[in-house]
Amino acid sequence: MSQPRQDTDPQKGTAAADEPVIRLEGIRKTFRARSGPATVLDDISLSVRQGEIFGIIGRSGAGKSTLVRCMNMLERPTAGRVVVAGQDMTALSEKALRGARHQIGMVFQHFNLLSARTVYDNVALPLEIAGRDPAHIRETVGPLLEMVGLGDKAGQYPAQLSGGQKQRVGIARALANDPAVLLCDEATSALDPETTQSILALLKDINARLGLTIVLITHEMAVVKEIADRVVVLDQGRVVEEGSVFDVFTAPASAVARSFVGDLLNHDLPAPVAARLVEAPAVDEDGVPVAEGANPLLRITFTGPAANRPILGELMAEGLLANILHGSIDYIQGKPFGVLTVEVLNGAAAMADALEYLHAIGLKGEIIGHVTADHRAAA
Amino acid sequence: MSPQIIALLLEALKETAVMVGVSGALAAVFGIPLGVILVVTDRGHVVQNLVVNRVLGAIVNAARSTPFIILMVAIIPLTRMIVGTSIGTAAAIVPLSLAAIPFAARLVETALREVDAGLIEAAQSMGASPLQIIRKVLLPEAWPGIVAGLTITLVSLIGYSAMAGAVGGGGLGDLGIRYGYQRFQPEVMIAVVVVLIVMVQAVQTAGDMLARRMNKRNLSRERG
Repeated sequence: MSQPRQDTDPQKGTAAADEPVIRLEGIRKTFRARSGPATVLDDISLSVRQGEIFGIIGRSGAGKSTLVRCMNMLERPTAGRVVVAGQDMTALSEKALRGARHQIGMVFQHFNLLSARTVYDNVALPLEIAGRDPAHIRETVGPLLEMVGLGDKAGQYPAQLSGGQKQRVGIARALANDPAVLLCDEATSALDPETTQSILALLKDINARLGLTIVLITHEMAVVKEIADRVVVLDQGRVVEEGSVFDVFTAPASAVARSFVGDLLNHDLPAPVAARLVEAPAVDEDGVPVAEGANPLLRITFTGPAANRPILGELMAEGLLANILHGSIDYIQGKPFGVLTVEVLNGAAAMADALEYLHAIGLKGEIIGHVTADHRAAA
Repeated sequence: MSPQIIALLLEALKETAVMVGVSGALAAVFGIPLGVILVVTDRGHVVQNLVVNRVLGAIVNAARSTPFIILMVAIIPLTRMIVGTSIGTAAAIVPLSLAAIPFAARLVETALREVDAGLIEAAQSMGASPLQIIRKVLLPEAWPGIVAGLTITLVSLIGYSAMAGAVGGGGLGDLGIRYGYQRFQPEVMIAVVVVLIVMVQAVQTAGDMLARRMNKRNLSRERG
């Protein structure tokens, strides 16, 4: 489900802070393949706001790398408009485009550091390219290396660094020209989990300290969950979902988003429970299962203010007899999000009461199926 | 060995060194830019120009498929135009350079193609112009490979220069043929071959060392 964009501001020329740093309008990208034209990006429109961390997630082949390259015109879109920091990139000449790119830092999955240059000279490269004078370069590179925690590595060559250190150099390099936005193309995908955490923390810190807008391309929901404010889900070249990270996480609307969220939160039932799941048992007119011992499964999703209440205890007090089968609680953007799956043992009436109670306090409860009781005999 | 022979050997060594040195230098001066053009004008590269690319490629191939001894004779008019004579060491430098330039260009091209496309993309993302990409990314990253290629060129030139006797170019090869073969003085032939072996070894070793020093890709990580 593609949600409509709400950035169409009727008043043109409002405060600069309201102007998105990046605005894509109807981006289409078609490659010529042997089997005919292949559409990689299909009518993509989105806005990246000033100062936010914007995630773009998709499986490999979804078009996310092409999309991020359209933002700095490393890939020229077949149709559509790219506006970065108020500048229509699609209308620029090659020369003007090179100037505009100084404002867009880019970090790569495989770092792309020059092996023949020291750490210091790698960070100095974009400044040399932009034609900055040596004094400015000296004043800029040192503090940048300090900021990314590599003050003592200035004279080393990339081959002497670890993956995480190389990416820190990549980040320092991308920041050298004081860009308006930082594009990260799978910046942590080549790193181990621990290093990924430290690089994400660095990006978050840079975002907070410099107020720098960051666009993050990834196939890992964990990365988005860790630091992004908003996210778009890309599938087969289309935006299938867009929203705040919390909303997409807690209520994924698209199948792709659900699978990403499921990957991470593991709210799916464990295999032994899932194996006993009966989709739709025979029920009588009151909804009471006819089959002996086929109990309904109630899934309670905890979000919002009510998430901090002792829900299960309250439900028990209301007369629900429940057996906990599975549960997890996660924190997304600092807000708790939990899912609890229980088997209701005392029938449809108690279940109906429970659902009503949950609804009344603003929590989501749903019957996701029924389980047969033969597991008890087996166990 | 008589002092005359040693004097002859030294003279021949000097001639060979001049021929190889000058044509090697010319091969670098023209071969490196030619190699760069062959790479950057290719499809999908920073200044794609397929006409230039294919025409230059064809010329390079034509020059490389002509046997050196034929090339040397065939371009005598050109040699005369450039150095005023078609005989002597200076005259030999013209065909040697002409053979070495496309040879070096192909080796330079190979070295440049080894440069990771991601580095070019990174430079483009910084707003680098094609010239900046060549000067700041392609050439510095490919230097170890280019040096290795020029070393091979020099070694080949030492071999080619032995044929320069055919145009009265002098040098070690010429000495070996005239004294060692035609005057039947095998010790001269052996001396010539030994000097050539030492020369090739020296060039190869120096080239390898230089290439290794330039290569920063295999530096080991510091512990601690």
